[in-house]
Amino acid sequence: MEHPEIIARLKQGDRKAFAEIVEQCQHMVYNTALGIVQHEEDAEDITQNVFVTLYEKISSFREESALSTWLYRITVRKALDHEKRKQREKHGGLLKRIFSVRESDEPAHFDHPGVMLDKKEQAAILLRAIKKLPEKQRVAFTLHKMEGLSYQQIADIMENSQFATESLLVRAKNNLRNILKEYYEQQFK
Amino acid sequence: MHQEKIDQWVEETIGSLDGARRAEAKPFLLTRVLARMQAEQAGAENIWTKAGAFLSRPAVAMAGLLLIVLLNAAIIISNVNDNRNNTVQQVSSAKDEFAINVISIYDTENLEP
Repeated sequence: MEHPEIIARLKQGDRKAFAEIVEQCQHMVYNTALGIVQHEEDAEDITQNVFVTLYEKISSFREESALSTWLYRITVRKALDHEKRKQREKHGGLLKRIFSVRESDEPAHFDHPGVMLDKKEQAAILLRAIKKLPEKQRVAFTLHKMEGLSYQQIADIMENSQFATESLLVRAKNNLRNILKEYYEQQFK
Repeated sequence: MHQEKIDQWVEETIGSLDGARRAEAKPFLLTRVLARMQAEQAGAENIWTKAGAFLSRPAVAMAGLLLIVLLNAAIIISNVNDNRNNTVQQVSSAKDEFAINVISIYDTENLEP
């Protein structure tokens, strides 16, 4: 995908080059968005939005990083913005708060379509726990587990050092252990 | 015993996404992206859409509302003042028109040759 020739054509507004990039990167973008928002329609909406942004902003892409890194960055930012907007809509508005039934803050149940059948139940519990992590830990863990990216790739996307990314992932795992432990202890009672 | 079991579940759960396949976008994504781009382009060209977006900004909407309230208040205050002046004027013009200054029948008779 990292062909400078395709990027050059895209910068000139070539729709065929755009189609090639959409074809090659669509699942990468969709899977990343899905990992963060954990909602299929929202992930589809974000994916479309990412490619529209790619087409409109390609002239500002300075090619200092790989195109995939740039696309991951746009996807992560749009997915997080989408979540914040949804959160505002959910809690926002005095009238809404007065007249609507208070929704639970507990994340909704989500089945990732790529998870093996025998691990579906545990994966759903893990995905709910991931939603409770701080934002940066959540992004790093999702990119590592869902997209299988290396520490260095995650560091490039998050504009961190590799050391900072490693420590982010260690903290994410420790927090997940605590959340899951609490969850299973409650189930045991 | 319970604690060991819980620790085992926790580790299994953390590893449950290992080996998961990448989720795939629905077919014909490119068509939907191009349609969205066209729709956004058409929307951006429409001046009414731009005007609507500008007016629906909370700051603009509140400022507009405040302006309407102030204009209404100013009109009401000026009307009250006008009404007071008009009443005085109307009374004096009625007095002139119907010669209310003539207060007795003798005065009227004295006016005749």
